[in-house]
Amino acid sequence: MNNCISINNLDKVFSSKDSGSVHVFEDLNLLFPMGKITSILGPSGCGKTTLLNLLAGLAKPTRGTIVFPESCQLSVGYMMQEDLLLPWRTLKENAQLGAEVTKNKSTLQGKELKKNFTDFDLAKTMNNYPDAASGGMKQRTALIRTLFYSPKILLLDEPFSNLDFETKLKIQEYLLKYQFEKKATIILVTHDIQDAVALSDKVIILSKRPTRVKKIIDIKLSIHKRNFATAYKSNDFKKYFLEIWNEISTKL
Amino acid sequence: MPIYRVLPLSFLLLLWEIAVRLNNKWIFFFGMPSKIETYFVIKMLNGTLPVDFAITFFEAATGFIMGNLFGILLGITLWQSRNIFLIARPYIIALGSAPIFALAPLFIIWFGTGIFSKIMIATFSTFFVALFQAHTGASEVKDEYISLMQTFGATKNQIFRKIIAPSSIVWVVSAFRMNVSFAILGAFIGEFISSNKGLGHLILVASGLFDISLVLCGIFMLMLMALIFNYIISISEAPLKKIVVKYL
Repeated sequence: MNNCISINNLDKVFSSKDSGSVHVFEDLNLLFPMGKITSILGPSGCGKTTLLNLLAGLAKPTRGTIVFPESCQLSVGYMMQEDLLLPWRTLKENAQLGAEVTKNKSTLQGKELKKNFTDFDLAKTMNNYPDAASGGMKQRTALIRTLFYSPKILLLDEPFSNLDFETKLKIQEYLLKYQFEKKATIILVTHDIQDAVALSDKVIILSKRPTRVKKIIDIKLSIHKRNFATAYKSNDFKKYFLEIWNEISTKL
Repeated sequence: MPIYRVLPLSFLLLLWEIAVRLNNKWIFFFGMPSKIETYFVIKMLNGTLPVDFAITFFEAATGFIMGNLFGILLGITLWQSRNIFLIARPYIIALGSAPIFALAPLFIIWFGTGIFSKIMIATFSTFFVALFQAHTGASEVKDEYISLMQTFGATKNQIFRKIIAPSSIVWVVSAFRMNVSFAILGAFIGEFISSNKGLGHLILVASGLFDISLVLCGIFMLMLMALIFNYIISISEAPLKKIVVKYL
């Protein structure tokens, strides 16, 4: 248990004046293994983003606890659904924001940043302002910003939603490389079953509100996961895909 | 293009001049462009107009700087605590909407009949606009930006420097633009009530003598002053934004 982020008896209540209080979770218990990629799937409104907000410390649970392993330094990188780029900074300056705040001098070097932008196919546009960038460019910049200050725990809220297939594959490969090199823990919220199967070690499927865990599926793709082309074509991929598909569609 | 900007003015002045020359009595009500020009030349040459202009300009400019500075500082301080702002708001609204013309005599009594009282009136007139603009600018910042900074573990100071200041600078610059007329008005009212120099004094004396052309000469100088202020703000806007964004 020591090597997991554990969520115990979690409950979150949002109270508003007109609509009364909304229970998002009902006694939610979850484990996120360190150094692994865990995906969270679930119908919209089930509290996936709320869960990430709680993990990032932006909100406090109404009841229950979230325990991080003692060993891990609490460096959490959270990429939110919105890109939240500052309009008065160029894409490059936006990507530096996190590193500026954490004063992570080693990562502040321009060369490394430039390499990141090249890897993400953004080298030509890195000095543009966000209003001159497409949704996909902004999303990639937001991801660079999150990765650039080297967090050990990554919370990603639909990070690929604005990307075309080719770019998405590239970014996913990059993300896997990052995770492998830094032994990072990634918690990924997504709507895309394929992304979940291709990337994760573990998929958590949540139910409708009040949210509980519907099913946990361990993904063990026999082929080496770092090669997407073979992973996508394998029979196991289809098996996992269908398993998740059935689980989600029965509720529809 | 500047040449076309002069056209409407020239046409108007010409029409005015001709109309007054055709109806001699009208000069009492409307003055006459050629007479305004004569006053302008004489008073420029004998040095009184530049002195009056400089005094009013100095009062308005100093009041403008102080009012904006203190207003912005207090606006940002009040942004730090929502509760204190809610307590202070009715007082600020009450003070800020009191007519400056009614308060001006008090300032003369408190700060004397010299330049200082005019500076204080101009400061007071510009203070509240700056305060509200700075406070609104800081409060309008998207909560998500602040959340984002919190995920980096940013301190309140860092959030202010990287998010609040750059995003509220637009509001602050628009406060500057609004405050140009308030600063000039403040200095003018002070002089109008009690002074022996400045454009306000010039206009007061001239209107007492029913010398409309001289009154209009003073008014044109005030307009010129507003144009100069606006010009200075427009050229300093871009560097100011750059400083706030890059170096804070």
